[in-house]
Amino acid sequence: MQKRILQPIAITLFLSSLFFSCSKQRTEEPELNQYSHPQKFMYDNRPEEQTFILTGDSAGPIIGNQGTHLWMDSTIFMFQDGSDVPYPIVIKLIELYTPKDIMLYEMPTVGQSIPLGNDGEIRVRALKDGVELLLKPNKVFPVRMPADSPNPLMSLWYGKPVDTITDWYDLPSAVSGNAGIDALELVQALPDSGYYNALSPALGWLGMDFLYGWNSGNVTVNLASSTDDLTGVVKYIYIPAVSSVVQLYSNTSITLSAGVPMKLVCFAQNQAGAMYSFMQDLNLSAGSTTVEVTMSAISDDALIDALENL
Amino acid sequence: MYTPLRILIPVLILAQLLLPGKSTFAQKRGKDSFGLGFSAAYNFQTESVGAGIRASIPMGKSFSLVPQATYFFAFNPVHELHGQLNLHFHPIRLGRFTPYLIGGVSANQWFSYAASPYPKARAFNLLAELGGGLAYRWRNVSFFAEQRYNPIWREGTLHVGALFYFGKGKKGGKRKANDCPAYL
Repeated sequence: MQKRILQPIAITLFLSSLFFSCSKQRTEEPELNQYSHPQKFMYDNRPEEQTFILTGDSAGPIIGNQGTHLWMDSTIFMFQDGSDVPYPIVIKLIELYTPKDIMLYEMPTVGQSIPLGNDGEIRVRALKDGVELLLKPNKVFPVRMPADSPNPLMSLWYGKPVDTITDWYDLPSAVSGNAGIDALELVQALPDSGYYNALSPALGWLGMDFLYGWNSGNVTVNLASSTDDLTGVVKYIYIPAVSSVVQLYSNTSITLSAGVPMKLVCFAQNQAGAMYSFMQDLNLSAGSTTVEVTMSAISDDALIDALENL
Repeated sequence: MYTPLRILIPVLILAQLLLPGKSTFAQKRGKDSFGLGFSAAYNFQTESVGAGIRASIPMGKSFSLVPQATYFFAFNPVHELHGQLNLHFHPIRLGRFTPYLIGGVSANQWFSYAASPYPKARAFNLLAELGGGLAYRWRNVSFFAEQRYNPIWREGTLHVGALFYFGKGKKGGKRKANDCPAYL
């Protein structure tokens, strides 16, 4: 008789152990999903650096894939020791004109922690036999950068490596030791022309930017997640009104403008190499706001589409 | 598996096994009696030790209403107080042993919730309890051990204790056919 009672209890307890799941969620930190920087995805989907050869046979401009024009000849270049450079000269060009390309290149439009309005970034390098060249003192080269609606507030900004990032400065003297260089810069924004004309006194990263800052109160965005470790996640806040791309190097943003529509964009790859993302529209009141991030799987193509349609 | 199924399936299995409708399981009942008791408790997931008091109020032949309180001490990882109201279902007896099923609700005051990493932690919580137990009767004392599961926090707690019965049923000495059940 006892057996007849104890047997079903034992069976029930055994089966219960299969069906019930227990949790230590009240006392232990949840195990978060781990992600890493999606290096390969970003490299595979960003614009390639283009290569041109200056031979001196043509006075025509170098024209990049996205419409950047450069007018250059050997007379503006020198080696590090100041000597002249003979033809042929290799010109390398990177063009970043969309938030997608800026994000994939990790070249946010922030100058000394202040958001910049942006109409494109380019990187121009000149090389002779693999040696990087400099611009001679008092030399400039004409640049034309395409834009849907050129903005008279824009000017050339110059990218300077600071620690592990490229920071932006509005004067070329920040990146070049040539005397009097700041007076050489010239930018024209012709409203209906579809481009900016500029004279650049420096090589390297050039941005067509203006100081956007914050207009209607300050807001700081904090990212949190109860499911995901955000350490390896690439995180941006995009401000569509001025095409500003702000990167978050931690889970806290720089100071942003309150009351302005923004988009939070996060992406990363998991340990198997699959892409994950999180995107959310933001329109925040002044102060500090915490946004809960929950990464979800996304195909490479869908993520590219999403970045192209920000 | 979908959480309600996790709970329902074992309960149905136990009910089917224990309630085949055979006369061999039918027990003659004595008169109902009222019990008061105490218990020690251990929550396996929070690794917390507690102490409880309870009453057992007979509700017909096969049910008892068991109001109780369980306090998990402040030195534990989780410091809390539960006020519980459970229904015990005990359709059969076997000699001095009585198995039973438990279902009920618990009003929880979680004193140390602020220190928890649980994102939904809050001071007051209304919870459910499901489980089963086994009681052993000796004179007018019933010793019991029961395992209860909280499907909301997904935690299991073992309660071990004793109930002292008062009333017209058992008054000591050897059991008779019409004595009160070993555990009601």
